[in-house]
Amino acid sequence: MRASISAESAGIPSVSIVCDGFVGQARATARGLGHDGLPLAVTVGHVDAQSAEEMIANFIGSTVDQIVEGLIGDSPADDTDNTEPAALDIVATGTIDEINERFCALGWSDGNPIIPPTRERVERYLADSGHDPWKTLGVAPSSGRDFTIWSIAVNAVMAGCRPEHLPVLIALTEIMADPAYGSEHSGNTTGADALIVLDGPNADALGFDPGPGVQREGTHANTSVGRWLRLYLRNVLGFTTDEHDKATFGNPARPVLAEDHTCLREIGWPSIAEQFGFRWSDDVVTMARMNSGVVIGSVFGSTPEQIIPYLANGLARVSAWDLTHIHGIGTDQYQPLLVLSPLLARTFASAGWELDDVQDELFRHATITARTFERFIGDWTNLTAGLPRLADLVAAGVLPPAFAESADPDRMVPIVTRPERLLVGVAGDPNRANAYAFSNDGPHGWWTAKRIDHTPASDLVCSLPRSSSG
Amino acid sequence: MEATYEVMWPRSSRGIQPRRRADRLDTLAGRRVAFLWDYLFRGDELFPVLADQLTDRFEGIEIVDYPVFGNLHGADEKERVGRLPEDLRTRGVDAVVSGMGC
Repeated sequence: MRASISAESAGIPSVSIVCDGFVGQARATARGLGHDGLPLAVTVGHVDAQSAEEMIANFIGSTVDQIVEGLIGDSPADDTDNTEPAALDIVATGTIDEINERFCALGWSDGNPIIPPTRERVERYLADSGHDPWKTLGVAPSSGRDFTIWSIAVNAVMAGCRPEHLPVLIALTEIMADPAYGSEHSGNTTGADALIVLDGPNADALGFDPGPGVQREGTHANTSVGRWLRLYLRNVLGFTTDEHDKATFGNPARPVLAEDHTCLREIGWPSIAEQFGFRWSDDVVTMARMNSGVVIGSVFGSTPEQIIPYLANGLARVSAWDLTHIHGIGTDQYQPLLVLSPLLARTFASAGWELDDVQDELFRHATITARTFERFIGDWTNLTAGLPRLADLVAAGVLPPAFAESADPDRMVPIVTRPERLLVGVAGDPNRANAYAFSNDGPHGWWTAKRIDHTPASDLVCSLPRSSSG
Repeated sequence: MEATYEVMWPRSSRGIQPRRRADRLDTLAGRRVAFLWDYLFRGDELFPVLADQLTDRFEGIEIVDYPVFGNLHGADEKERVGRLPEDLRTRGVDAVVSGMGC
């Protein structure tokens, strides 16, 4: 749709070919970019599940006429919806049960009970922040809606976030407003969901827990901030199933993954925020969308050499079609995350291993056969046009030589382009020998980090001109 | 008596203003039509079929095929899509067919 919209902006008529399961998202995307009602040409069913003969017969029999009709004849009527409420309009009145039922019916809730966002509660939420409620942090590229402080606060009240979490929510909104993150892809069909990593000296004071069950609901700060993200994606970015969300399965909202700074300081490893260039003294949220996760359970061994192969195997097992983010959908944007329990991290550190030593050895051991790699990005998924072989991509300079050290299809190749592409974090139960491997969704929610600014805003401070006469 | 609440809208207004769509053409005969592809979902099989169909139906139609514009999805998407208006104008394109959204 974005290519069509770009053409329309240049005064060139367009039509977009979409599968029939994609019509709702296509219309919503066009609306979000100010082009309601752009012509679509819809295929019969999903092309990936049809034989070539069936697909082409359907295309000629149905889609081609729609393409022609979309380009010639009368201009389509403008069906822009101008009936939406204003920010301070009361959109529902009732008991807490009635409000919850209404919000669920309108798609404004995640299905769990919400705290009713009354004007008084929202204003109280912002009262000490100093922020102008109508300040915008950008425009959602999916829905075209403004990222306002007010909308952040309304959804924070609904999620049960505390006012001291507002700077965290603002930093997360800045990530979603950053084109590098690609928030417009948050509803793609494979259904990745965001993982928020929180680092910094104030994490404890804000109530974030890095300990046992860190990815399970239970700790208020981790859970409510993770929930806020899901609500904000629904309500402001438009990721509901009748608009932009085309996730085939999806995941529940993930609680915030707070890193274990006590352990990190003890072993002298950089936090994830530091791996993205921030300082230890900075409070930072880092976010990416994750396709899959694998628990690497009951890691046995007392030395790095004993435990590296199993950890690397977990990274290899979680990496499948996601490898198309090395080449295909993304370009060198596969950067999986391995979260070590503090016990495992200390096993490395007590043997004198720095983080980059771990990354080097994981890179060396986390391998799959070239044949399997090519199947994941091509033969099995059709996600790289032309089904290129790894050797061809190396010859073209797209991939480093490690991907084509021989012509043997059963040679082992890495799952990322270089060791630094394997992120390593530390969290979870400090006394357990488990790890968790996440595969990221490349440019569809690319790793992006923002500093959390706790300084009260001065938006509402009046400045009086100095008197020239003193 | 149970408390009642008057609640606010959890969405926000659209900062993007509605934009005017391009005028449609009266015919594709003698016109230059560009194909734009995200290199996904079998466009490499369908765009050649479309080229044949349009050529059969409209005399003098000229197709500017998708390789001219490259992959409009993925890491370079924003740059390539951002360049499109200029690319299309430079090539004298009259209409665009883009795909594949699935």
